[in-house]
Amino acid sequence: MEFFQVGHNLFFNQGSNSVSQTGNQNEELMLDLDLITKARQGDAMAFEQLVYRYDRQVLSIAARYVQSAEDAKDIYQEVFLRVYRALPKFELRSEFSTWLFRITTNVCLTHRSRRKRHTHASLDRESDEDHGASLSERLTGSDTADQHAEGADITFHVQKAVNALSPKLKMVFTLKHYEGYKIREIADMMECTEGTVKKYLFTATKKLRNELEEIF
Amino acid sequence: MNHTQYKEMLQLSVLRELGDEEQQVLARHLQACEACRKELEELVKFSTLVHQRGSFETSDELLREARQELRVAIRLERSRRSGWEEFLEKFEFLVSPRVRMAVGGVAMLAAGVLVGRLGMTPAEEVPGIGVTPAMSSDASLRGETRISNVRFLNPEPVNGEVEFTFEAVTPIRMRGQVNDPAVQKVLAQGLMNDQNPGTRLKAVSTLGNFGDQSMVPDHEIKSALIQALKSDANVGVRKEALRVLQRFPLDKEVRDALLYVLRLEENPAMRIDVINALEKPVLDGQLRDDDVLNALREKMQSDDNNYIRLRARNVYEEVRQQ
Repeated sequence: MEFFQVGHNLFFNQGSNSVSQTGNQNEELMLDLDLITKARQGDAMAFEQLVYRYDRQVLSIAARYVQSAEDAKDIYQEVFLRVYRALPKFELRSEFSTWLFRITTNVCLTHRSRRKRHTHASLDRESDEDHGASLSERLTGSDTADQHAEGADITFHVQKAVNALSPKLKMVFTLKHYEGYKIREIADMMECTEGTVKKYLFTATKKLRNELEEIF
Repeated sequence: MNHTQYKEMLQLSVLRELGDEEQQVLARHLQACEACRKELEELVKFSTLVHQRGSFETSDELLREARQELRVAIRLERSRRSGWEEFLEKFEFLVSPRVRMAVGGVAMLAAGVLVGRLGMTPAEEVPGIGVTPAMSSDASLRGETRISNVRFLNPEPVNGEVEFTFEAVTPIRMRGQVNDPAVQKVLAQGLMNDQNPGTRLKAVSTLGNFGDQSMVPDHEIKSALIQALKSDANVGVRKEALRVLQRFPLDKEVRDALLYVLRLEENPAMRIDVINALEKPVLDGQLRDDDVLNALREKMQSDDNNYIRLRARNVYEEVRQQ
């Protein structure tokens, strides 16, 4: 039951502690189960519905982790292709959402950026800024005026500092600070102990504070 | 408890990860410790900064693009699986790992011989015309094999020997009646696998423009059309697939596909077409069940397009009045 509630909080109602949600939790799990069963029998519609239940969260984690729209789409696609291939063998011992988000963090951690794959990728600041602007544009759909405002420089420094973290530190920091997951949920996703997650968070915070010391 | 532990607790407190009891312990400590109060202030400032300056929301446009690209990738994956892998899966129970290895070896050998024949035959000796036995139409004409994507495995030839891979594509011309099952199967495969939307569109309309209304389509063709209706990346192909499927008997598979499109299709024109397609059979009572009525109710209540809400309401209300 505890595991069930963890899963629920993790993926459906972050921040919600309402007891009255229990009925919905069961319904959500039953719906997942129903869709998984149908998808395994080759029902493409069921698979797509299953994807649509979680894909915004997957894309959000990916986008905030890689900070690149194109890379986020690559990760999104890789995650769901892995799910598609492995669904027939998925054992219902854990929740689908738990399994899915484990795949997501794994794919993020092993993802090789498109920029790194291209030998001509420039590492200078101007190029990074260009990239940041294009990303924000595509992620928020907002105009670029904000990118040139006073705060753009701070944004650039924060994003650069977060990007400079090691993959695991960056993953934990992203999941906690930008996605709002609880530490126990992150531990579940990354298949490690809560203590390890805390250690990563403390280390990431220390590094970022050092890096951004001049800003605040 | 030492100072380092309090500092860690401060971080957890800012992240709302402390229990009530720990929070009280920390509060008592803060009253007495100036350094920790300052540290808390810094942490709050840091947290605010990274939230305001490093965060962004995923746009609907990006999600739409990702979904579209995933559909194409899944389609390719499915077409790959439908070949060799499904064959292996079907016969998996018959063969032990050893036999499978042997079969694999033979298959590799056969593939090698085939590639050798295709690749090493001098261009002028590639047969210009030949009958493809797998196709039962009256004439199948084969063109020249094209070699492309040559990739050298050893960039520096040793003793004059080179090693490379390549792709061999042989165009095949086929002529036959559109109701010939062999022709239909090829078109269905083209519909599912061709990268060119124009070709897929042509394949759908060809399948739909011939044959009488009451004909029961081959299951593979119907599946290809349903697949195209539900997930083709090109809206023109999806629309044409809908038109063609309306010529076929409205069985459960077609009905499910229509409901799928009504619920999940992003293009409003497609959703309107589906409501139009459903209207007559629903009003006639031929297709009036809870799923259909629920889908219509859902649309009339929550579709983001005014006209669709109105259309769905009209059909729904008319059914209710009957």
